[in-house]
Amino acid sequence: MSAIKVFLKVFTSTTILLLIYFPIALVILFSLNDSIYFIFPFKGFTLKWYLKLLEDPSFLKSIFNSVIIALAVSAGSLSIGIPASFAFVRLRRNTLFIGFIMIPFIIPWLVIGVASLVFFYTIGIPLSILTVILSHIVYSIPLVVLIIATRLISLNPNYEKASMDLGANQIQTFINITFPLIYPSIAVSALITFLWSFDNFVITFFTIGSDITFPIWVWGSLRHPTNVPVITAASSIVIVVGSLIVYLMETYRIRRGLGVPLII
Amino acid sequence: MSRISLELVNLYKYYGKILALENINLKVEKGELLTILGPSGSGKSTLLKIIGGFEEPTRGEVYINGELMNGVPPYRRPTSMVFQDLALFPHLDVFNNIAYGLKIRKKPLNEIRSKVREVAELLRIEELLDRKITQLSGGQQQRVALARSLIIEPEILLLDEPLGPLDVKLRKEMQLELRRIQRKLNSTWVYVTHDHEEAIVMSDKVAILNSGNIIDVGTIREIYERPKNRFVAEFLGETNIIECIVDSVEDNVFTAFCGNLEIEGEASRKLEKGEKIQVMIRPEKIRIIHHPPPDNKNIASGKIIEIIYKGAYSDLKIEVDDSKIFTVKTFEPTYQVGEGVFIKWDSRDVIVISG
Amino acid sequence: MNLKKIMGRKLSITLLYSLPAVAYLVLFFYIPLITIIIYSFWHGEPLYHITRIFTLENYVRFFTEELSQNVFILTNLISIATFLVILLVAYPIAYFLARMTRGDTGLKIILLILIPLEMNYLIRIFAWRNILGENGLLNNLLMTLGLVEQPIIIFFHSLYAIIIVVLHNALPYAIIPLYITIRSIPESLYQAAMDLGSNRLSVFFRVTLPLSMPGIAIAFLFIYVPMMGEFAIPALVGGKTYMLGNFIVRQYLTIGNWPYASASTMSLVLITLIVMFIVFKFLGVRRLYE
Repeated sequence: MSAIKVFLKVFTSTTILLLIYFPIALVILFSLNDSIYFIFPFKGFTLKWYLKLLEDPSFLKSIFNSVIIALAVSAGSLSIGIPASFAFVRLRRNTLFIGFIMIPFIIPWLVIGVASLVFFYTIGIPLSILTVILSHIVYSIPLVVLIIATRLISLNPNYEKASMDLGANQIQTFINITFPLIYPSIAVSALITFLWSFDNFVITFFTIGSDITFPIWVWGSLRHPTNVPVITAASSIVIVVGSLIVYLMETYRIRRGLGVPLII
Repeated sequence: MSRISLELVNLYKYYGKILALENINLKVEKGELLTILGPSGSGKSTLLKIIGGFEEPTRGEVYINGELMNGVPPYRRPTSMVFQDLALFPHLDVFNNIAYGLKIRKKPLNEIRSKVREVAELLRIEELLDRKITQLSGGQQQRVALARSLIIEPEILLLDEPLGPLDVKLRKEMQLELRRIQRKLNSTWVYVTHDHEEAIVMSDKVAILNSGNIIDVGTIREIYERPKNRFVAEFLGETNIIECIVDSVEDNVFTAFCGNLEIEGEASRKLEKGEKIQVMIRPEKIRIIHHPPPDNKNIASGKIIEIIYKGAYSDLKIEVDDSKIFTVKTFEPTYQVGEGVFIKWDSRDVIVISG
Repeated sequence: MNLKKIMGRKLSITLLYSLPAVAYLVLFFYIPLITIIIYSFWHGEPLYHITRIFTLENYVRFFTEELSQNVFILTNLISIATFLVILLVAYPIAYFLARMTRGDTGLKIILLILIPLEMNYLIRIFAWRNILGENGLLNNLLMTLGLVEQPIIIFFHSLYAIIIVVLHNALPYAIIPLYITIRSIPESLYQAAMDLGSNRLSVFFRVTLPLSMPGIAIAFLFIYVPMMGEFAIPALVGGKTYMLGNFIVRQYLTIGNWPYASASTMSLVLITLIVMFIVFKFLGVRRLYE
């Protein structure tokens, strides 16, 4: 048994390090390299790519747009998804309802993008940040429902009953008991929808028209190889900031004993 | 005449096609502790939920203090329930759990503080007020749940098998303590359990529930000593039941033959000669004697085939003839398996049960 | 009669709460979906010429034309192959984390795996391109060490590149459901099995594997479905590999034959649903809520 355990341990760590962390470390490393190419040895330590990045107006605009969109998507999908989660819990034996809510979640994003494109064109709405937001929320709603409904289901139904038994009506019960108990899940949903929207390329690709978001900017830049180091600088910023957020969020969750991270 | 705290009239509860409660009629007086006793699946919890307002009856009415409660949600009923899993709010500490009902009612803070302290003293949990729920033991959580419900001074307290997860010693302590508290507050309690010993210790009145029907209602003594039928008799404790045929009836005294035995007893209802009846005798009412008495009535001779030692007493299984085995309770530890004995009982301990 | 009022109230609250979501999805998902379904039955020509007559020609063309069929089959194969590769890597890791670590460690390590997901999806592809590419790190290393004379291009712009990139992307999505399912197998089951005479290997095949089927099914969901619609990865690192996603994008944006493109898209949806249905049936998982 020990032999297998050792093997698995090695396998796991190697895979994680090599497959997942290595490319990332590489990107961050080379963002500081004074060279256009990804070659060893290091030419020289420099921050010039970061400076060049910050001077690029399209980069800044793309970040700005992405943030705006992500905030709108987060807010929108939460306000629609939280009440829907309560309904979902009551209707969870109803396969039709589950399917209805979840299909946008399991269908390839390409389909959402394409369908939105055709739809907006057909009814005459020009493609812009607005259409991006609208199409993102389609995917985010089931995401929110998934997270919050899971939490609601695992919540002891007797808490609400006890609260009402002690004299609190439905609204009071929600404010005093239900909401505090699902609040962490709400926070997680907000964060996840934000990060997902910020990072989304496929759906945005079809619904953005001539505007720009961060992933679209990256895509555009990848077409022009001379911009390579600038992209690495941009990537590094996103990596570090994003990782920090995720790390903080998850440590908070684990420390509060809230179970499986992120998805559930 | 004492007030009727709770009255259930012709209550029925269907879940779809499944009949959970059938024709429930019950009256509970103020200050009474009624135990609803029954095996698992008998509908006890459903009944409690209906009283508390968490379920509505399909048919029938619930009256609390004479007021019709049908359609009234739990937060407007003068009831409070201690749930089987206690359902203490995990994100609030002990103080705030207990104070919850008062806070909802927007009572002033100093009133809340003093009332919480009062109730905490009653349940001896004063030191626990600032603890988190997860830091409490099972017994402590019990008391907090009780405090939380008692503090709002409900007309009726509902308890759903509250002592289930506790170990035996703690259970017995808690049973007595709960009873003491109930008596002190003189409040009406409806207590649900499947443990007949618990019911015997705690109740003023007992209602036996089986398969959604109330089989019998009465004081514990009435039901124990004069059970209505076989189910009730056996549910409340070990008992001996034999089939007999009535031979003669004079006034309220009857004689019957049960196989080789001749029985004499006092009948509570009219019996006919030749009628087939079932007769019950409690193990603790049977005495072991060493010399055969003069007459043959209410006597049997047999052999001890098994001794079940229970510490303070023993249950003897005595084979009287080929098909009858009597359970006899004795405090004498000196009997041996295989010993031949005579057993005797009084005619007033012969109880006729129907069906 | 009071019963009806209470039942009605519960039901209407549920309806009320679900209304925004239902309305939104109908408006911005199901109606668009219906729109492209309608488009798929119209006659289309390149450069956005559309004639609104009902025809099945698009579907016929898609399922009979060599190009589309090749792409279609290739994409299916790639998606399934990718899933198998990822499963092979993810399962041991999930198993290790679920059964051989104590307490929170498993979760913490999963957290570690998840953090890099924050790097933008395209950038990850880009990073790999630079590692595997002609002028990339790998080749540089190999050449410097003198192991090869010329840069090896097998990992660059090829199917293998796609698989490696997807592995990087999708590994956490496979590990997590597997971890959860394996973790939820009660220890007592293993003990019972071994008590009854099974050795370690057979315990795995008779207890662990069957009970982790739901996790495998979910992992399949998270890998196969996105893969079927993938176009960015093949475009950036796949070289000549032409997948259904690229095909559809080209039809919509370059060629401009929207009806045909829509028919292709709906065929994608169809096949995805069918495969998923089969897989879930096969793995004996009921699509009830987790």
